[in-house]
Amino acid sequence: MTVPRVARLDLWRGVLLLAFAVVGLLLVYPLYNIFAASFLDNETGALTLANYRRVLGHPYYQTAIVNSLVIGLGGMVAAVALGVPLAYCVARHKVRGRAVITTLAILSLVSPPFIGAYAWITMLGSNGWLRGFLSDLGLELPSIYGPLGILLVFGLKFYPFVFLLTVGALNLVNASLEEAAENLGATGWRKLRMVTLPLVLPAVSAGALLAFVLSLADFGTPSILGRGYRVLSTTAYNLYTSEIGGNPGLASTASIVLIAISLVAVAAQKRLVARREYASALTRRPAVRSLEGVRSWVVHGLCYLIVGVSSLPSVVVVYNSFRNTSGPVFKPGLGLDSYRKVISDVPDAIVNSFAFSSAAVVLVVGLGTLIGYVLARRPGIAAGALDALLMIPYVVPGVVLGLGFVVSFNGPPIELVGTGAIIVLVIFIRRLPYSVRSSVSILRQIRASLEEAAINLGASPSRAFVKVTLPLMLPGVLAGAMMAFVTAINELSSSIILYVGGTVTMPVRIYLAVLDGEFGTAAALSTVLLVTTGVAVAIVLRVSESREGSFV
Amino acid sequence: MATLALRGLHKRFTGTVALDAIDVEVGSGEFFTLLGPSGCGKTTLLRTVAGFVRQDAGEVWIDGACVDPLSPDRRDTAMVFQDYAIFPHMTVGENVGFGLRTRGVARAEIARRVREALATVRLSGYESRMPHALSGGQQQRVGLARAMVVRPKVLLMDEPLSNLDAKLRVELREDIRDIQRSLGITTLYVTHDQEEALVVSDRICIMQGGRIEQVGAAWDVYKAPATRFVAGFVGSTNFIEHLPPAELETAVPDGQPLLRAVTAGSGGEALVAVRPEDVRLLPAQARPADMVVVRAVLEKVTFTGREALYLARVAGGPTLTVSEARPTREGLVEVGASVGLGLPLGALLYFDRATGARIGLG
Ligand SMILES: Nc1ncnc2c1ncn2[C@@H]1O[C@H](COP(=O)(O)OP(=O)(O)OP(=O)(O)O)[C@@H](O)[C@H]1O
Ligand SMILES: [Mg+2]
Repeated sequence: MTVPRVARLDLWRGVLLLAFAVVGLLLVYPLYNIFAASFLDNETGALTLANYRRVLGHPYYQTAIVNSLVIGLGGMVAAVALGVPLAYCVARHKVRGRAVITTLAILSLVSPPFIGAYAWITMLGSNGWLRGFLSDLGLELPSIYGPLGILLVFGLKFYPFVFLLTVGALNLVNASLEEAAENLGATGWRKLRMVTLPLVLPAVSAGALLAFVLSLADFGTPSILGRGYRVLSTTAYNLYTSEIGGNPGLASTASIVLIAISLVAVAAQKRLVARREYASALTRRPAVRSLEGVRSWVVHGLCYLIVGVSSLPSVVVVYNSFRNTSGPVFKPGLGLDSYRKVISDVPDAIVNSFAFSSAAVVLVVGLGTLIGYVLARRPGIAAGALDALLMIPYVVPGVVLGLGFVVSFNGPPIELVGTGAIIVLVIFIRRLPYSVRSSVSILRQIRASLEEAAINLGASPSRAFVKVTLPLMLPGVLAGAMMAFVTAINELSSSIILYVGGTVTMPVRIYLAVLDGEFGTAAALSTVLLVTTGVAVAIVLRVSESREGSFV
Repeated sequence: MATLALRGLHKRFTGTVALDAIDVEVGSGEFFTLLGPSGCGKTTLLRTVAGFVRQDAGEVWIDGACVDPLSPDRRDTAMVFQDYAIFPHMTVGENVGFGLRTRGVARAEIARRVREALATVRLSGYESRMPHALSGGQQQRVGLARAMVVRPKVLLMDEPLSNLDAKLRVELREDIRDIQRSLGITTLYVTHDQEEALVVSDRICIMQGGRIEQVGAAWDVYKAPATRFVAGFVGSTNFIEHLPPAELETAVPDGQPLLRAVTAGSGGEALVAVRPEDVRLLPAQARPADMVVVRAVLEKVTFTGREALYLARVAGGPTLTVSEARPTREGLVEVGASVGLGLPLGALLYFDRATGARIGLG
């Protein structure tokens, strides 16, 4: 034991208690209510399995389940198909502009997915300029609406997870292993299949899992691009908000099914990598190959094509925001009309977004750092349990948690529905685990003996933390805060359920604008979001040492 | 079984010449060792043979054919890596069978040969173990089995034992030697451990700064070092710059080359060297005929178990190391004692001061 067990006010025990209270109230309680509601009859309140019979048995819901699986798996496959080759090109070749490629990939990762959906509509929708252009070339594309469009957006949105994780893993493969394979007669594709890919499988599958779970949980994209292609997240949302009598029981059941699918995916990935995580003995850094001739063209072409296409939506959105519009139709000429309109019509969306996100970030970083400290430095049964509970948000879609909040906080003892606080809290609890995890990994790199030295010299444990460890953690914490801010300000799927007129946020406003065909407003607001996001990312890149590590 | 010939190899990395005019012929079935200090180009040479490094000039011939156009996977050289490079996601059996699979050998045949190879390295029954459950020595034996099971034309080993503890190193080097001999695989072996090199090799190639200093059997490089560097690197040697005439016993004939060399000091043509075990520790008055005797005072005595090492200072001259094999307790000489150091004329080595090459003197 490094710290004397004195019964002075123990900061860390206090943190643990607070953490359990917060997690219990904002995570367990709402989810319990959803879980309970899925077994209750809406009218009588009696215990029943009718909701499950309905969701699992009725073709209407079965379609939604199948569609969810299709876009979940499809999004995952697309992300892997883009991310792994890109990672291999970047990690094993002298590619020009590696930092540019990484930065563009990161930017497409953090930009809100519904912006991608919207931008692709303006490019490939029925009047889209890209569709027109390709059509002139004799290439008729299928409709952007429906599963293909959704998969396009998901693939381009989530491949950076696979890319960043796989690059990290490829850089840790000991060079001798690949050389041994070559020396024994396996080169090219064979070496890749027999040696390199199996070694990075844990990382690839972790990225694939993220892509699957996020594709499954995403609300904005299928709801903008779906046009009758129902998935579970949109179905749950519609069941709850439906004008003609919402059905909380069915909505809850659909939510539980959604969570169950995510859990199965998590378990499947765990099983896949079990006993396949190899301690890497990096005695020699992997070889990086110079590129010449055709090969150079192919590799560079592939890299820049992928990051280029995935950055296209952002460029298009910014450009659109300066075009003159009339409703959904773009008019000739450029100007600031859209921005004027945004400022006169929806200033509160901008103000709300910044206010809510900042508040959420303060909470996330404050509690996340403290909890991270407890998990990293004071392990124990309680800390372990807390760690496990903090896994929940990874598999609970935003729509579901939003529903849980509505059900839980719409009346005494806690009445929050309609306030800004409820949006702040839902963003806070969804982001908290990421912040905790990043604090833990930051702390793993700061030796505990530093703090022990301070205590040994007479500082109290909390003073030692504040004076020694905290300053060392600061760059990492700042990077984490910026990332939290990025996710907070782009949050749609929970706030779409929790907002009321006065608490509308930018993402919600963009979503509504796209649905109403106010493309100019959507583009101008999206540009504000993109610029904010870009600034935050730039700060992260500046302050953090492991550049890519901060984003996954 | 195949021969290996390296003809005029040059390799330059930015700033360093890693290989400089390397000419070597390795006989079929020979155990040939590259020995030299860190950074002398051993690994570079080995990797050039494997095809992982491309030479700037010169040729690599295996079995009478130039392999320069061939990529590493086509050269039929199998390598044992310093860091083992055991594939962590494959079982021991899959690791050993890897090269056979890439060569399209039939399943049953693979199983049989893997079993055989594992038996040879004394790992029978380990087929289905995962590598992380093996000790370092076992992993290195898997690496050896994996390389030799494909019956390569040339077996390449880059300091295969350097990550192991001293005892295991001795044990495994005997294994490697026995296995190599029984299979008769032409072997190129890299080490910077001179004892290891002396024990396992048919011939040793001493390298320094990318150049070959000497190629020869263990006996030759030790007893007849070709250059001053070899004499200093293999075993330990006393280099004698200069001996003050006042301390020399004059019983030796005038014009004796040793006297010419040591009295001329750095102005002379030759540098004299003598191995510690060749120097005789004599009572102060003894005057054997076939030696030059120089008076000295013992400064330090170290007992290593196998031998006693004395440091003896010649007044106004060098300090020489003397080793006495199988010392007895009573025979140990005390620090501070005045002694005579006998330098047997037949055991002295002379090196050209300018070039470092060994020379004979009149
Ligand atoms: N890829 C490379 N790029 C630049 N210089 C290199 C490279 N590989 C080796 N060198 C240099 O070439 C020289 C020979 O290196 P090499 O690895 O062959 O030495 P070595 O004899 O194997 O040494 P050690 O006993 O330490 O393994 C060294 O000076 C080294 O710094
Ligand atoms: Mg080496």
